[in-house]
Amino acid sequence: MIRMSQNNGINILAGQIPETAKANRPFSEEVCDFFSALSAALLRDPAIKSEADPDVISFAFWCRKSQIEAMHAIFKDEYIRLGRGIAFHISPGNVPVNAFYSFAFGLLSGNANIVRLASKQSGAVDSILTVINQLFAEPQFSSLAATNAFIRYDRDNLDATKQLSARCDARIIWGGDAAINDIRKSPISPRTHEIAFADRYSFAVLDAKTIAALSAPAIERAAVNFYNDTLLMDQNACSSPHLIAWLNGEDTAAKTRFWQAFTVYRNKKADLEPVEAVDRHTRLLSGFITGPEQQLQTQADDSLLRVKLLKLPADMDRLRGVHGLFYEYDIKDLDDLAHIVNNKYQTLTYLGPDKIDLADFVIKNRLDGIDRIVPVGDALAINAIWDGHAVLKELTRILDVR
Amino acid sequence: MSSANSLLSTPPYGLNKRDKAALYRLALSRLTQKHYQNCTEYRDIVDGLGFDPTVKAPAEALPFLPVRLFKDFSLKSVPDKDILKTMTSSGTTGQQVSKIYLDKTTASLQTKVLSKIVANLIGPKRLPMLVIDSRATIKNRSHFSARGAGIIGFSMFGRDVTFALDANMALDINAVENFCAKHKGQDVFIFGFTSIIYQHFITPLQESGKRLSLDKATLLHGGGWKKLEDIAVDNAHYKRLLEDVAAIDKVHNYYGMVEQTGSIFPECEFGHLHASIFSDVIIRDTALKTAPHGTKGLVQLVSLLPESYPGHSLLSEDMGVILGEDDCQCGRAGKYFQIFGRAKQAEVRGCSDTYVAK
Repeated sequence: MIRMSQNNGINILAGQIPETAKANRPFSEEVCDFFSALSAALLRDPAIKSEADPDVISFAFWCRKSQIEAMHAIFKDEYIRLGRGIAFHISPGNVPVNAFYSFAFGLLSGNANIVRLASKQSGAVDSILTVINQLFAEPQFSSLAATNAFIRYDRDNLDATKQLSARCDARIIWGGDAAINDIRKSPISPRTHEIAFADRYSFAVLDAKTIAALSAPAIERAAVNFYNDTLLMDQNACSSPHLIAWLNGEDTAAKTRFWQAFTVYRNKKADLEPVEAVDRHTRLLSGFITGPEQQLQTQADDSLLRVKLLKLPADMDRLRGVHGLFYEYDIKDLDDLAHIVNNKYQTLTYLGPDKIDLADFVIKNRLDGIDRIVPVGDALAINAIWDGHAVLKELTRILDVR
Repeated sequence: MSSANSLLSTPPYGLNKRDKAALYRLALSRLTQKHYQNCTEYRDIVDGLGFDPTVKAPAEALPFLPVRLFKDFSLKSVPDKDILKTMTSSGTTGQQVSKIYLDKTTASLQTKVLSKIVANLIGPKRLPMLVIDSRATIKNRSHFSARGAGIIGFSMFGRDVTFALDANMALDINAVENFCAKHKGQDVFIFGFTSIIYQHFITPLQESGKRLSLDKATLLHGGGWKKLEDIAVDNAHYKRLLEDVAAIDKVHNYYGMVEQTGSIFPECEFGHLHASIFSDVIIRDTALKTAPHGTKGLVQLVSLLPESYPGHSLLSEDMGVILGEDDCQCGRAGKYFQIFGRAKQAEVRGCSDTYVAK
């Protein structure tokens, strides 16, 4: 039993912290209705503009009725599944909106949820929370309001983390490696299932030949997709590619074509903040010092910084771009990449190569890393299979009846 | 011999735009080559950027190092045995401190240049000096904090140096009143850090209702406005307060950073910060292209002093604007400018390891 109130430093922003949890069937009607209502309300909300709040809009589309049904269809298998009980989510500090995806996984799989939001203020989080509060106030969702909570507390409030961790049946941690190790100092009960979404590294494989052959609208679309994979989250998302491995890279005209299309689209978006410009320049110069031999292909004051690597070091995952800084390397074939892949590698985005060949590359080389192979444009598309986990299923237990 | 040394006999604001540009091409090129040859990290940067270090490029075309690199790396261009002292500053970006390695040449240049610049404000003679700080700040002489180094550096221009604050940073009103009485009617020099003067000098005087009569004093203060911005005290207000509590009407702010100690940018009688012949300022837009005079942007600082570390061309995180060049009403040649403080921190997005463990 946990008794939570304001006086232990926990600020409840929506719902109620569940004291006990009854295992629910996944994808219950009530829960599915809740997400339909949430999606509809967000898309209707006049305060939310698609330009200003791409995160909110993406989430609203992600949880609309047809999407939930599609997730359900993939989820169904031959087992009887039940939620585990209470899921405690520690959401990422830097993609605050991921808290709601995590919440959705917990709720759809049949759990009560305690979602700890990052302390950093975020407009997207506030918008979604406001709508959730409105829905929680409706009689139809009163039992969800009584068993799900969005909370915030100070990072140094170890007591809160300890109490919530001790009580939960599933713990989902989003964060950097340091954050995860820190949270793990608070023990969970022996039966509790934990999923940690750690810091990951991602890269792209682009085929210059394919790009050369793209029609004008197709190259524009590719540029927009690549922008969404990278700069939408300032290249800080785990699934955003930092390294672009080029097949048929001797076709420099094709590369230029791709980057020009990217720059045209990028320049329509907001300029860098001064601080971001300094960060990027610092990252570029630090990379010259710590990284392999490399050459800047652009001017240091261009809106796009392309750095050509002359070697691909085994610790490539330490070299990361930001705000429009990309590392490029020409490969003869995929196997040229095998030596750099370790268990930090998450997403391989591709344009050109066949996805079967890419999967073969991972299997044949028995790689420790790469959990996702998705076309350019889908790097950030979060779904029930994420980071190598069948998240929805892992948040259930199986009732084995013979 | 260093170019800064050869300038020591030139008046500190005595070079116009054209002469300065010609001189800087040569002087900066020499420094760039020296650091390129002696600092591997700097060489990696220059090579990565594809910059030819032998070219006598104008200051605007030189590579510039973000000051944060001095936190992440130990950047030096002299063998360890030649390092006389290491200066540190925490800045506000994180837990790591900047490490600035000084050899004898650089340390001595810093002192000489600072003295030229200060003499321009208070005259060549040493004046009785009041330091608005505690003596405890300068205890460890081998490992300088920026604050300690500042106090020691500026104390050389004073005599009968009196510390206005006790070991607990409380205003030692007896010491201050004795100082005032002893040097009544004389020119005196007062030095301190902007926020410390506000918090530990102005505020307690306001609270006690005591009014000092330091009307012959010249007060020089620096270190940044960050803490005062939070409580909405600007330069004009600050000057008014000093006039109110202590009758000080000659108040000069200065801009500078520990990474380029010595070649500071003091404020003139017209409230403008000035680049002396030993340093220069360049403003860059968010693409890091040079911005024209009158445009607000990131501040790049160029100094002829750093011989022992590659700090002759640095990119700060401060925002500023160049108001003009060679034509300030005060008569000093060179660029004059204004600083707006640190660029605003942007909202961080992404899920990489930016969490800071306690």
